[in-house]
Amino acid sequence: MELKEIQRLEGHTDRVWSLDWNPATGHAGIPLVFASCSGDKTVRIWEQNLSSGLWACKTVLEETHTRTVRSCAWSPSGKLLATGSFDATTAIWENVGGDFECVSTLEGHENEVKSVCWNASGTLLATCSRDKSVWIWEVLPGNEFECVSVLQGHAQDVKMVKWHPTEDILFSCSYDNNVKVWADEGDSDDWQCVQTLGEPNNGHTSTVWALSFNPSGDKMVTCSDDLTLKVWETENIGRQSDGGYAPWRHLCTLTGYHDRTIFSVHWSREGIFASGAADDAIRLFVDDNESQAGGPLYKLLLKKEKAHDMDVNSVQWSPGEKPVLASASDDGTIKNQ
Amino acid sequence: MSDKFSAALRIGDLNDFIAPSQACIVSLKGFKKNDKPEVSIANKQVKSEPVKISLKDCLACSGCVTSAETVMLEKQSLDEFLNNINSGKAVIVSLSPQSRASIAVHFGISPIQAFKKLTRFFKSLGVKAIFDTSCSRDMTLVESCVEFITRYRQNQLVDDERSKSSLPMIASACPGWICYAEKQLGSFVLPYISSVKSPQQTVGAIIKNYVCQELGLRPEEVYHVTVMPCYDKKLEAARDDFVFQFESHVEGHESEINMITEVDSVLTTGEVLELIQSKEVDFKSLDEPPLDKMLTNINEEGYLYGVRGSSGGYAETIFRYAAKTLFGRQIDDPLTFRNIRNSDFQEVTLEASSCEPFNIIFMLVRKVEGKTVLKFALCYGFRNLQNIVRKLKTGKCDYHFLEIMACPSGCLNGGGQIKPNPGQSPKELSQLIESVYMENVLVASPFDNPIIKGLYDKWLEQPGSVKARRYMHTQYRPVEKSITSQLNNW
Amino acid sequence: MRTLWFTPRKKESLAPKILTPLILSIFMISFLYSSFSLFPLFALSLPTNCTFVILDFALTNFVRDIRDPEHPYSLEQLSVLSEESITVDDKLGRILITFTPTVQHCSMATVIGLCLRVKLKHYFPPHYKVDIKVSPGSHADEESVNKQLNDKERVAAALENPNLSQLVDECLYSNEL
Repeated sequence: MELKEIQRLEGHTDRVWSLDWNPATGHAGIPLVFASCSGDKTVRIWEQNLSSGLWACKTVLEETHTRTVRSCAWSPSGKLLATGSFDATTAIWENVGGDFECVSTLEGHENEVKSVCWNASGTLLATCSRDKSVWIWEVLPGNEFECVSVLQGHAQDVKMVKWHPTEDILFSCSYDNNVKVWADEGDSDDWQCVQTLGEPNNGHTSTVWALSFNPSGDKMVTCSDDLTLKVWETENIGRQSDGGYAPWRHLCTLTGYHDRTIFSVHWSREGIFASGAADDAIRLFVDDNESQAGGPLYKLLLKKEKAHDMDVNSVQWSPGEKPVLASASDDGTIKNQ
Repeated sequence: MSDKFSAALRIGDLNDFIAPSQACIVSLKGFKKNDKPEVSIANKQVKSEPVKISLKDCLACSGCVTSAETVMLEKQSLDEFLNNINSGKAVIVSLSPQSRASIAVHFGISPIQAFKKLTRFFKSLGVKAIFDTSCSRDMTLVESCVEFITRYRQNQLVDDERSKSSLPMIASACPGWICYAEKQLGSFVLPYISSVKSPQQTVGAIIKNYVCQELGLRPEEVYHVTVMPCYDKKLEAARDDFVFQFESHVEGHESEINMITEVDSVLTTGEVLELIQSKEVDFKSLDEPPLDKMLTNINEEGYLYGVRGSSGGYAETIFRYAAKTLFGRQIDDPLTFRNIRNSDFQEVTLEASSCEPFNIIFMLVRKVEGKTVLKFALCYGFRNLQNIVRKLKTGKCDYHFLEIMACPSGCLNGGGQIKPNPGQSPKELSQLIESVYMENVLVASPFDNPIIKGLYDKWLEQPGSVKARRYMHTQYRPVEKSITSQLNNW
Repeated sequence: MRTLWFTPRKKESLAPKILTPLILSIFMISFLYSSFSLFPLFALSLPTNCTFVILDFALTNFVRDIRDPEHPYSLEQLSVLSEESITVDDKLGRILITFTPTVQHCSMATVIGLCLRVKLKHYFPPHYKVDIKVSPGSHADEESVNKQLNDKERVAAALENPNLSQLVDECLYSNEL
């Protein structure tokens, strides 16, 4: 296996923080589309040309955010794009016949919004911020958004929020070294922290930057400033008969693969997870079927040193039959490989 | 950051990595020249003191509320309370009905028993009098009713910028909400907030401005403590707006100007329990002396009275009054609030009927027939508060009155209440307190309260008068983010 | 890894880079001066004698003569010489800087670190990885200060704050020498 650079996308004038593939593209003849966001305060929408296979920037979304756009996320339908910015707001963009229009702005966070994420059905949006809180918004008709819950459990800056791929369970990871699991315990919008994965249960010892789920949703991988990747698993993903959720437990720790902060990790539908780090490198890991009892359960599939000239901030597998890996970097470029 | 504060304060821009002592930037700014409310300056001499942070500084600063807690525990603590009793000051305690209910549930007694036993307990420590803030709350409610009518009429009859910010009127009793609005929301929301002081500050103003004289005491000789369900109330008591100058004339001395604080200290219900425990008192077996009637809602037959609504009953009382005053509708039954999104967001409406003679003038002006003429909401907890703020900002808020409280379930569930027993869920406890809250309390209109009537007759003239505005109303201002706080907190 | 001031021979071969520590030193001084003159609010908020010192081979005469506003000593006299102040690894493109706040509770330590980060960014190629730390044991919140200074997201956000970036600029570009 090889990781070959297909294209280097230039356009952003500052570091590219994050990117997200539109889940409604890449099949049935719809060209692959992704959004990228940057320290240049803009969001760019890139679309693949079906004949050449190369990407070109279709639209630049600007003049809404006044500071770095840190995070972007497509709704499951691919119609809406949410962007979270250091200006403390989250913007919702709607694709109206190819033009993107800012249809709503969510305010409330005290300072920098670090991450945004839609749930599987597209009915809920989660945001998190340096103000230590995680907010859940409900999507109402007419592009109205209503705050369902403000979750205050983290002791520090919350770096990322991620919904479970099938259940309405929310995961957040933070500068406080913890990953927290949030669930609606009743039917009254009563969101609570149901589990904290921290140092006492084999968790990370420094900032947890990102997390990603395997396709079936019973495993998750987290990456951290402590230079490790950790894989977690749960027995059961749905709500149990007693109304609670089966806990997540630590499965294994992958150490020694990156020597600077690991910023991003993403699990592909084919079961390969990619990690991108401040050592400019990308690594791919895969299930190790021949692993000895007690040995690591995942093995390094591939290492790509110097994937970028600078820190790799985000790695994302595309949807579609032949997944490509897009990576975003401090060097201002995005690469599809 | 302490989780004692309401969610609204916890969300605030806090310094998130430096220990409180260093996080505080106020102490280092050097502008600390103003006098603390606790310090009276005899003969206008200014003592030079080492720079120390007061709660006032904390309130004026947008840096954090972390260090406020440290200061608060020092300035408004049980130790201070006991010291003041021992110092010979006349200590007066004003007890909130929410605290009363929390203590009653904790000890498994009725609220009136709790009130009486607390009276015995405090008096055994040397407290001079124990009052009830449901009494001062009645004055808050009367003033709020009058303010609402003024705002409603202004909103209906005048169509300019000023009238747009007259409605919705927002209740001002929750200090967590006020603090959040001033520090985070700024000027757009402040004009909507009722200018009437909270029951805590109202009782403070009554005691320090009026009752003192009646008792033949100078205000500086009185140390006034409130017992509240809420930590944020400590911040409220420390506001600059609630300090006034008072000139005393003592024979044989030059006249002195003292800075008088309406409420010298706030103890939470939990702190009072701590005090009871530290004195090793068998609380349940204390006898039950008569209550101090001067500022307490208790009638001749020995029944407590007050309004419904465990967070003060603002929406309920003003709704009734407005229905009567504006539309001539007398509502005697309890109001039915409908859940909107959850039990912490409820609304009640009044539809205009077509043939009420009282209404004709209004109909001519506004064509109100069949329309909703009053739309009030209870809005508790931070998430609901956010949605209301969102609606206000986008101009989609069609409520006339909002009873906003920062805590989910409102004041009975305040951060200062006694914690659940082991094995008891917070929800169970708050339902229990809710169920005993109105036990032995007769429902009575604040306008019928003889004590409040007496205060107007003898002192404030009438609701909404110049005098009433001077003593019973306050103001709010946005707190600018200080540069220093940003330098420290990034 | 090598330490610059240990090996004079290599130092010469690194001629263009000599500029960097020199500039750092100048910036320190200007920081102190500018903060007390141009930025009164900030100056007042500095605890007494909260200065910091990075000492290296390039500490020149005029640096030596700078006096701490609070003490009759020069910065050099006040300083604790540390051999680990700056290490540059050209091969890997990595720089490690340690600075020493002179008081344990210096509340400006994170701002000082921010200034250092910006300065280094200007004088080294962009791909150089910079780690900034307070010297071990020199600050009461050593761990949290270090963590914050090396969280690039926090740093990036801070530098977008107009007040913070103005302060950093004043520290770096002040002509008050």
